[in-house]
Amino acid sequence: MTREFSAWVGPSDKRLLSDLLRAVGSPTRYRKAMYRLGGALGREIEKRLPSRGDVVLVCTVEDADYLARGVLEVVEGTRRVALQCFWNLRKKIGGRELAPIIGRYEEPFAANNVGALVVVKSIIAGACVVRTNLMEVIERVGRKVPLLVAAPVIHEQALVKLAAEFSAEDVRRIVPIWCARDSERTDGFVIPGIGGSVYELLGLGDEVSKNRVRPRILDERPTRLESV
Amino acid sequence: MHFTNKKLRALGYSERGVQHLRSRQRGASAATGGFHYQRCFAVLRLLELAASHQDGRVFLDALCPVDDVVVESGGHHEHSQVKESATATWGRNGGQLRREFLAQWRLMRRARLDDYVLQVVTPHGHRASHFQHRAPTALKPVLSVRWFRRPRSPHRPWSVPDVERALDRLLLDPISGPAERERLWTAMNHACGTPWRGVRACTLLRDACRFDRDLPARDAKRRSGTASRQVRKALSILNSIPRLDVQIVDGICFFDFEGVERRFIARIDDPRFTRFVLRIISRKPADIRAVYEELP
Repeated sequence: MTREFSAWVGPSDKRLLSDLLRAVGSPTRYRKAMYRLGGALGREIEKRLPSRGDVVLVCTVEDADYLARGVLEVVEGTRRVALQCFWNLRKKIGGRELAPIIGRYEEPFAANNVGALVVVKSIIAGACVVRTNLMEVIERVGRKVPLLVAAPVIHEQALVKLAAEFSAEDVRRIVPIWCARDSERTDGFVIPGIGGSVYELLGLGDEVSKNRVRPRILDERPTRLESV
Repeated sequence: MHFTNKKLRALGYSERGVQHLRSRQRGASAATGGFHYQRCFAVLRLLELAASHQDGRVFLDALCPVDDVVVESGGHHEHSQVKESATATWGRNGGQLRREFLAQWRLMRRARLDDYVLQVVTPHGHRASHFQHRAPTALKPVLSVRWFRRPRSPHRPWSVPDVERALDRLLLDPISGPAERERLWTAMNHACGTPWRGVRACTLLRDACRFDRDLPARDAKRRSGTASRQVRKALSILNSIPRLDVQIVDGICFFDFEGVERRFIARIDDPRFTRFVLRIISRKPADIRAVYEELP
């Protein structure tokens, strides 16, 4: 098992990752730790954003109230952000892994004003969910903007798998941002990764139950019907 | 037309001629080069038939000279040869393509078929132009050339414009995007089987739903259906929640909340939909959060 850290990750960020692993078994502490990691990622994302333009922030339902909220609070300090939250359901059809979107919350945005697409995810292992959600918004944005893919932890093969699914032109635009990169994967879980199944660790139940959750953050979004 | 050994013999083919076609068919089945593109085109034709509510069957590597993809729909027959090479011409390999098309043309005449098209399918625009303009004169009245682009990524055949259009006609718009195109394509491609089985366009959707019961694909047969009293009651409870709009369109139940949030609930022929309706009637959710808790 090897873990490698990004060059930008300092001692305080490493402590946040350790806090996350120590919080396993306590959903309240785990949620807080994930939110703080979102803040750390958000600060790094902000540095990599182009100097102007709005941001389309994409997350999954399980990350919306914690990791994505942490990112959003930082990025929204300086940018206009259109939040896109997807409810994915993983399926395997004919040997192919899919993560279809069964529900979607999509704040409107003006494609011409978008400066970057940011996809955040608590962990990227097979990259199936990230691929699906990225594909979904790339088409709606339509323009060639940077694609920031951010996660506290990724598996060492995740970006290779992600790149295989996109055209060379799209791959060149992908900017990966991660705190730690792990090499081991056992029974589908990255070791140590984020400590196991994120839905359960956050107290959202299994994959079916988490799709019956509506994130609180959606109630808090201002002027939802106004295009950013 | 789907030719069999018996039909070919009745139309004047010698045993040797049939054996030649048979060995070509076996060779094609064993080959891998170009097969992905050929199969994509076959799935596309099925999707196009299903999207236009036409029944029909699509065959791969049929027993005839123009054999790559054969479509039978009503009385119409379409025989396509897929030429993936950027250098393919009518005259290449001693005029092989020209010979095959002329042989198919003669066969169709012998079979007294009038409503048919012989088609060259190519992913290259400049080849499409060549096949169109340099076609043998006898073929021109029945020839069609289709420029069917290759996907930018081999993993994403659903992103080819022709495929996208066909999939979008089958999907329910408010709750669909590229992810649903991928999902519908994957389920339909899987329903066609490996090796390919001559699936019917009218049953394709039902076959695909066996692999993915949450497909948000429109079911034209459900369009005129009347909702039961219980379904109407559940919809009335749900639609009394401010800014929530629950609808059933073409056999699919979904909701829209405030114009920014959309969610597939279930296909109405799914037992989970019945259970959802009963739960809504019994628990009477009063806000959107409570509705989420009752979702299938």
